[in-house]
Formats: sequence, structure tokens, C-alpha cells
Amino acid sequence: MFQYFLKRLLALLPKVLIITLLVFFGLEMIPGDAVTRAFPPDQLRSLTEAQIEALRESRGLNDPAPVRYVRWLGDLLRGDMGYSTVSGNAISDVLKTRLPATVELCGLALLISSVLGILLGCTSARHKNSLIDYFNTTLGILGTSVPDFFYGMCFIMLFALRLKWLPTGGRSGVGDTGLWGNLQYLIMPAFCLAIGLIAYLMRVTRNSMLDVMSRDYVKTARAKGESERVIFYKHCFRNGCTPVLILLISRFSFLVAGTTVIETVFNYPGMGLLLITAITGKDMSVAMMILLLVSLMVLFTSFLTDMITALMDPRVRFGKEDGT
Amino acid sequence: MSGKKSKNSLAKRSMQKLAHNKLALFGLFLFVLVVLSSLMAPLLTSCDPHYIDTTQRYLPPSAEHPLGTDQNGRDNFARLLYGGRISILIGVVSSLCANGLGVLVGCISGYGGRKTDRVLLYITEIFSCVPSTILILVIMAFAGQNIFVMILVFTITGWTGTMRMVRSRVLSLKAEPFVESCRANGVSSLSIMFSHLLPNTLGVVIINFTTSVANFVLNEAGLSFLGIGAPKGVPTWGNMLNAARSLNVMQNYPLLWIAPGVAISLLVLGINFFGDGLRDVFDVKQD
Amino acid sequence: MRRILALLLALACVIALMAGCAPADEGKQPDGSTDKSGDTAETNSGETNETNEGTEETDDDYVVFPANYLFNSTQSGVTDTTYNGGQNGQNLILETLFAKDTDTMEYVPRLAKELDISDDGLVYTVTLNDATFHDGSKVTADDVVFSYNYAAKASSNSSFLSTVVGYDEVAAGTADSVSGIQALDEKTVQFTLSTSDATFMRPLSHSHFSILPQAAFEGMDWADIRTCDFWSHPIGSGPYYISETHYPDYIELSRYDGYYGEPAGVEKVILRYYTDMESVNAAIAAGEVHWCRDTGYEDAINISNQNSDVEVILSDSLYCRYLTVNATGRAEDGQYHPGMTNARVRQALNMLIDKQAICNLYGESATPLSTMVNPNVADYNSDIPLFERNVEKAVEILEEENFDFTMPVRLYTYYTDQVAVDVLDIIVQNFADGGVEAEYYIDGSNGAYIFSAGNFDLMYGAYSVPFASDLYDLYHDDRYVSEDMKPTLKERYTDLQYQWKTTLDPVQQKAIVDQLQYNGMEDMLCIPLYTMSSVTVINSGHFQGFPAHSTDWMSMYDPHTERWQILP
Repeated sequence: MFQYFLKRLLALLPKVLIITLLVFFGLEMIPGDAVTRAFPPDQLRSLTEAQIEALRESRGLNDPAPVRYVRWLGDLLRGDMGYSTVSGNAISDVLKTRLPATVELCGLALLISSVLGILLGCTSARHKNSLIDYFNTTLGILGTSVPDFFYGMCFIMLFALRLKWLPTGGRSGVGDTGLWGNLQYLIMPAFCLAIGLIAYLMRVTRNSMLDVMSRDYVKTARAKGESERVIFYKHCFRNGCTPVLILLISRFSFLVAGTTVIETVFNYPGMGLLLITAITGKDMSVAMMILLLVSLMVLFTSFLTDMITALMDPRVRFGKEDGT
Repeated sequence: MSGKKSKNSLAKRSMQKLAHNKLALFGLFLFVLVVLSSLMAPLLTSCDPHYIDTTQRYLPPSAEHPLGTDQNGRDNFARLLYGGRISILIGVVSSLCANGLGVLVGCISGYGGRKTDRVLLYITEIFSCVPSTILILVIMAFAGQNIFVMILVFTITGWTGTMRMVRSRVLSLKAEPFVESCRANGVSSLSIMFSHLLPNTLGVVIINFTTSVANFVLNEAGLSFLGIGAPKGVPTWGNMLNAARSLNVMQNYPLLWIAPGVAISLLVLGINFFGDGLRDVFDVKQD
Repeated sequence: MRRILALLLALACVIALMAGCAPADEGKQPDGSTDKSGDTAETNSGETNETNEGTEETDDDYVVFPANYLFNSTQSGVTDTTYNGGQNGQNLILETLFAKDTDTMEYVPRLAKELDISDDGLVYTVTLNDATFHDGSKVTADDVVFSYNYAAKASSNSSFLSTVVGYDEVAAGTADSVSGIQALDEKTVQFTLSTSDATFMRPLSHSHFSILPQAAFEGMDWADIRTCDFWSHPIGSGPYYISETHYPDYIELSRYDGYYGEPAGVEKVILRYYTDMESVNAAIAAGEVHWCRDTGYEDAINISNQNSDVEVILSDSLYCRYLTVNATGRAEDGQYHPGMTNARVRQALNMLIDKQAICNLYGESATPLSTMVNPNVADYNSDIPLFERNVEKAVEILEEENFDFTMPVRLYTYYTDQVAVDVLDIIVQNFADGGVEAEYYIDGSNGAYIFSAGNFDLMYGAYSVPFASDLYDLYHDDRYVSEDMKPTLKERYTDLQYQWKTTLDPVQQKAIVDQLQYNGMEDMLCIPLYTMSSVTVINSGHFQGFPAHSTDWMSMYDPHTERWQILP
């Protein structure tokens, strides 16, 4: 097992490096450099060329690209992510609040979608081809067909404006303490995020359950006289859910992509909204840094998925790698 | 050759199976309905989708304007139809390019030697670990708002799925005896790839094509809704949703956002139903 | 069969969801009452409004304002005073020497106690109040001098100090401080001018010249001040201090008990960051935000129709939207339309535009412009007839001047919002009515380059000024005129503007502004389009005492925090 782990880790490293190279290249393409970005245009006009050159020298901007790349990597590992081209603030400070916000949102979305998705999928599988089954499937397809921001807008109008049960957006408010105080901001965006995932999980769970239910040991259990319910929950559920959970983790990248739109609609201050504001405000250094972080997160989750699959299924560890 | 005959009857059987799947037929009907109405826009409406008359803003539905008018006094129905052309165009062209690229790379990777396979697979993995939405956003921020750029970016980020599927199909087909016999008969690799292997992967490719059209239409809608997609002067469904985003419009003139939203949903719904049917026919388990 | 049934059920759910979204007040047309007054704010205490039930346990003694311009671009701190307009809350924390009172539109003292102007108008002596900063330290004349020197170097509006002795050296970089600004003693500051200046109250009241505590920037180079850590929790001398920061969501301000003036009427103010106006509108409609300015007019009317506590106040201003003409005779990419150098062509193009159609985009809040000056204000030259579109006359003039109809006229703007695109679409359509081909392009990020390269014939932009004379700055912008035009422009605009500034006689000032408008109509170097009233939205069911916001963003307004009151 350890060998497999090491092998996969070593395979991961070059990918990480390539991504950092691409991001570095992207940062290089931004017009201007660290010096011109540190000053607003009016101040910049008052500096002479000589002064600007001197500042460049002192910050090592005239060194060749590989040197700068290595230095940039070093800074990154130490937590220094550079500065925003627009506001001049350190990007790491900015991300400090944004990252936990998105993690909370995605976490809740994962929770909601796994509970609902698996539940609905199981019900569909148990009552295959009944009305409930078709209803769930259709609802699932509707969930993926209608754009998620559409749902978001509908929810805001219904729950925040019409019924006034939930706030219109944001992450926190004055005096909002306790579980409900913080949760009320998360519910709507998390649910909108979860819709697409619920549909996917429903389908996958249903297929997985159906697959398990047709296995031999289930037939044996039935022959032995165990009730349907017991069969379902004792045998099928556990075995059927495992592949689903693994697939769940692998859909993480779609979840993160969904946050960009959902956070905009709900004005929720997470990484997605930061990316959109950075892009519309042409703050490319922040945008590239988010790209880097998210790619690394996705790489990490796929690595995690591989590890968990290997743990569960010994065949993977020892079998011929087909690379997929 | 007997192979061809069996292929024909396989195709016939598949079509029959599809024809019995009512939901899939319904999906196909929806898809065709939406696409045809956009294509036949000049026949369905006599209004100019670009003509601005600000004395006619926000009119309710009437005989002249079946879906009312928008914030500039332009006919909503006309904009829906003509806008659909561009949205669907973006979806279809991007899908063609992305899947075309995926098929090409997948074939080469599957059929070529281990080395080519390794390299191409590595490149695919790099591309697929960056979430496509975010990559699209960043590239569009650099390249500006432009329909061609959007199609290009969708292509760049959307080919990996097809590539993998085609590759695994080709890999499994490579071991088939008929390939051996072709090679023994001196048929060139290129010819094997394109006239023998490719047709057998068609099922998977078609399914991917339909789902990616749906995906790209949704992507375009999402990007334009955020204001970063198609340039704002161009009518697309996403831009119509973006223009209708203010609370005032959403609450008082719901047709302005319901129309494009329903149009997108119908198109994607249709594609999804039909794709499900296709999947049943080709007996492909969705990964 | 089952499948169809399931499909119908599912669709029924979706439709129910959408139906639930319809607004509570159905069938109301957006034509709510508006109060078009520039001076006073009528605040009716409407029926009390229940704030959203999600926050039952909270202390209700606070008001929430949106503060998009106050937060920096990454919402990890507050913008520094010289970087942005800084309104929306900055004047609660940091103060200027003087401010405008929106009831009387006169300048009233804030941090300054009194002002003495010498008879020749060259020496302004300011005596300070006994104020303290939020950390307890006294506000001294040195802080004032420091703040003004910082602004003179860092602010884009530092030219407001152009008449102060010693400013030119600072602008050229040869001096580090303005010699004409001196601290006479601990509580007195003196400004010495080189010539009399009718606009000098501007730098004494503009947000960029807020008074900062010198001690907080000890030892710092002026170039580092903008990005230093002070701005994540700034202290000032205002009636509120920052008690809690919750970046990137909001910051909480609490009443400052050591304030030198009357204590504020409301205990806490929340300044909240919203990404865009849509979120603010939703929040106002839900009663979560109690004041906002410059939301769209139709959005404001819609909100006030739904939420009876919300009222909409319009005020006239000198804000104008216009088209800059590139009259240099060239564009760097060579696609310049030669007609732009001809004044009659410019006048004809002006006549082609259906300005009322553009104004319709803004509901009732926009008015077409004839000259650059808003026809509803006193400065307007009433001898000039109001604008009327005349396509035939325009085409006649264009044909007389041998206008090249085959070459497209190029419009450009740096605004990226939908309404700007709509305006340009209308203008292109209007030109087409007269046979003039036109096209436009939008580039929100490359402005500086495009301005200097002149890659446009007409550029859509906006300008907001406190004095009508300033509007004509746009007529002698070096970037858009050719060398041989400059002497005439100096005579017709720059010299007149200087006279306006240095004379203190209002009758003469009006005559000068009238003349400027005549000149503008002849030269048409900027094609005026329309002006918009400033829209302010207040939740007067929850909160009263807030002055109607001054539309003059060049001066801070006195927020009159002592009058603020939360209604039960």
C-alpha cells in the first residue's frame, strides 16, 4: 500500500509543477510588472524612469525568468502569494477569509447533496420503475437542465423577498450568532449548488444499487428468508454506497466551478465571487492565484479519490495500470 | 461482408429501440422544436430584434409582441428566436470542435504506441485537473469578450472527456482480430484508424456530442449572465438573462427572464432526454 | 405513461416555484411618487417595518448602509482617502475641515471651528475645534498640514490646491511640502493663495482632504501610505469609530463618545459590502439596508412600490453624459473620420441624436442636454433653446459640408454595463436615420492607451462637477484637440474659466458661464447627451434624520448624525 501511495505521490509532483509553470507564465503575460502595479497611475507619472529602474533592480525584477520562477515558487511555499494588481493588498490576506467561506459552502452542499442524492437514489432503486422512480429521475434531469443561477434567482425572490424567511445574501450579519444565525446565510446557496450534484448522485446511486441488488449474495439472502428491508439496508446499502461516495469526491471540481455563479447571485463572499470580481476588475494576479489554488485542490482530491479507491479495492493496487 | 450486414441490422435495431423510448422521442422533439424555431426566425416573426424604440419599453404581451418588449422596446420574441441562433451556434460549433479534437487525440493515443499514449494521456490529465469553468473565466479575462474566443476556449477545455472514452474504446478494439487481419493485409494505420476503429466508437462520440452541446449552451448562458461571456450588444440567451437581472425586471416583467430561461431549459432538457435514450441504445454506462 | 405523469408532476413543481416568486404587490405600475427637490429631505415616518425575522435576538439600534466604494478592491480593508470618492461612510469616520449642509447648500464648519478670509481673498485662516482622534490623541494643526501635503502628492484632485503658494513645486516634484500651508499654532492653520480663488472651499471640504492622524504614519514614505496597514482599521475624528471589522462582509461603527460635536443619534452603523447594485436593491427591498444613493431610478421606484417604508428622493445636479469628439485630425490606427474636424459636422451629428429616446432608458430621471449645463439649474443659459432633434436639417448640413457618408463613424466607451451598450445602440440607430454609418466598440481596461492613441471619433463618457464653469474643462483637453486649435480654445474657454474662478462677483460669473455655453454650442467639441438626477433611497420607516444626499461629490456633506434617529 505504501508503495502505491509513494508512486502516486511522485506522479503527482510533476503535474503540480507544470500547473505552477502555466500560472507563472500567465502572470508574466499581465501587462506591467510588480513595480508599475504597486503605484496608482498618478503617482507613477511622478516617478522618473531612473527611479522605476532602481525599484525594479531592488526587487529583482530584472533577473532571468527561471530565477524569478524559482523565487516565486519559494515565496509561494512560504505563503506569500503576491499582491493584487488593483488594490496592492497581499493576496494571502484576502484569501484568508474567502477560502473558509467557500469551504463551508461546498461542505454544506456536499452534505445536502449526499444525503438527499443517496436517499432519493435508494428510493428509486427500491421502487424501480414505479411513479416515484420516474418522478425522481425527471426531477433530477430538470435539476441539471435548468441553469443553477435561475434557481438562485427564484429562491431569493421566494424565500428572501416574498416570505422573508432567509436573508438576501452575504455571509454574516450583525448579531447573527449561534447555529441558525450563521446557517441561514448558507442554506440557499448551498442548496442551489447541490441541485446538480443531487441529480448526478441520484442516478449513480440508483445504478449502483440496482447493480448490487442483482448480485448473488442478495439472492441468497432472499432465499434464506430475510425481509426486503433488512436485505436492502444491511447488504445493498453498504456495498452500493461506497462507489458513490468515491465518485462524490471526484465531482469536487464541478462543485468549485459552480461556486462562481452561485456566490455571485447570492453575494456570498467566497473564492468564486472573488474570482469574478477579480476578472471584471482586471485584477489578474488574484485571478491567477485562485486558478492555481483551485487546480491544486482538484489535483489533491483526485489523489485522495485514488487513495481511497486503492484502500477499498486491492485490485487497483496490484493490477495493471491503465492510466485512467 | 457479413460485418457490414450485421452493422446495418444493428443500426436498424438501435433505431427501433430508440423509437420505442417515448421520453427520448419527446426529447428529440423538444430539441428540434427549439432549433427549428430559431432557424426559421424570419418566418415566425416580422419584428426586427435589433430595432430600438424606447417609447415602447416593457410592453405587456400583445398581438404585435407576443412576449412583450424589453428594456429598449425591442420585441422579446424576436430576440428570443434570433438570440437562440447564436446561443445554439456557440453550443454546436464548440461541441463539434471539442469532440473532434477529443476523437482525434483519443484515436492517436489509443492506436499509437505506448509512448504516444503516455504522453498524450499526461497532457490530458493536466488539462482535466483545472476546472474548466475557472480556466474559461481566466482565459476570457485575458482575451476579451468575443464569440470566437469563447468557442476556442470551450474547445480547449472540453475535449478531455471524449478523448478518454474514445481512447478506451480504441484500446479495447485494438485487440480485436479484425484489426490484426487488416494490418496483415497491409492496410495503413491511418486507414485502420479512420475507416475501421472510428465508426465503432461513433456511439460514444454521438452521446458525448449531445451532452456537450447542452453543457456549452449552459456555459455560455452562465458566462453571459455574469457579464463575461458574449459581448453585450449581441443578443444571446445568456445576455438576455443578464439584462433581466435587476429586481425590477424580475418582479414586474417576468417574461423577459422566463422566456430565455425556459428556452435554455427546454433545449437542454430535450438533449438530456434524447441522450438518455441514446445511452440506453448503445448500452453505455455513464461514468 | 408513468413517465409522462412523472414529467408533468415535476413540471408542476417547477411552475409552482416560479409562481411563488411573483411579487407580493401584483399589478402595480412603476409610477410611485417622487420628490424632485434639491434642498430638503422630507422624511415621513411611515408605518414601522419589521426587519427580517432571521435576526430576532439582535439589538435593533443600528442602521445599515452599503459601502461599495469604501472597501478596497479585495474587501480586506478600507480605501485610503485619496484613492476613491470615499463617500458612503467615510465621512462618518474621517472628517474634513468643512462640509456642505444639504438644507442650505452652504458650507458649514466641521473639524474647523471658524474660517477667516483676508480682504484680498488670498489668506485663509482656519481655527480648529477641540477634537480628538478615536485613539484619544488631540487633532492638531500639524495633522492638518500633514494631511494636505499627503493629498497634494497622492490625490488625483490635488489640483484643487493649484492656487496655493508652493503647490507647483510639489506637483513638479521639487518640493516635499506645500509652503503655502502652515500651522500657525496648535489649533490654527493658514492657507496662502497666489491669486483669489472662488473655488477654494472645494479642497477645504473634499473627501480626499480628510484629516488623518500624522502619528499613525510616523516614518513612512508617502508612497507607502496608500497600502499600509492603517487602512484595515483607520481612525479619524468623526462621530463614529470602527468597533468591529468583519471583512469581507461588513464593518461595524459605534458612536464615538469623545466627539467634539453633538453625539450621534444612532448607536451603531453597519457598513456592508455588496458586489453589485442588484444585491443592494434586493437588500433594500427586504429592509436590510436603510439608505443608498445612485441606485437606478426604475429600480428605486420598484423597491418603494414593494416596501412602503422606502422612499425615493431625486436631486438635480450638474452631472452630464456626453460624447467627446476626437478633433485632433488623426487616430493612431488610421481609421479617423475626417469630418470630425469640422465644427458644422459636429453640430449636425448633435442634431441627429434622439436624446429623448436615450433619456427614456432612465425613466423620468434623465433630461436631454442642449448645452453641457443641466437645463433645470440656474446656471443654464436660458437664451439657448432646448434641444430638438432635426434629422432633415442635419442631413442638409452634412451634405453642404461634403461629409463622407461611406466611412463609418467610430464610437467608443470604457463603460462595460448593459445600459451603456443600449445607449450606443440607440446612437448608431439614430445616425443611420440620417444616412450616417456608425459602429462602436467597448474596451473597459485599455482606456489610457486608447485616449492617447485617439482610436475613436466619438467617445461616450460622463462628468460630474460642482460648478458649471468646470464642465468646459472638457473643451480644451489636450488629448483631443489639434495644435492649431489651442490658441482659440485658450481664448474661448481657459481664459474665461480663469476669470470665473478669480472674480468673486456672482453676476459676472453668470455672464461668463452664459458665454461659455454659447461658445460650446458653436464649437461642439463635446456633444452633450443627457443629465441624470441623483437618486437617493431611504428607508424612512426605520430611520430618519438623514439629509438628502448632496449630489456634489466634490464636497463632503454634513451627515448631521446628531439628527439621526431610529424609529421604534
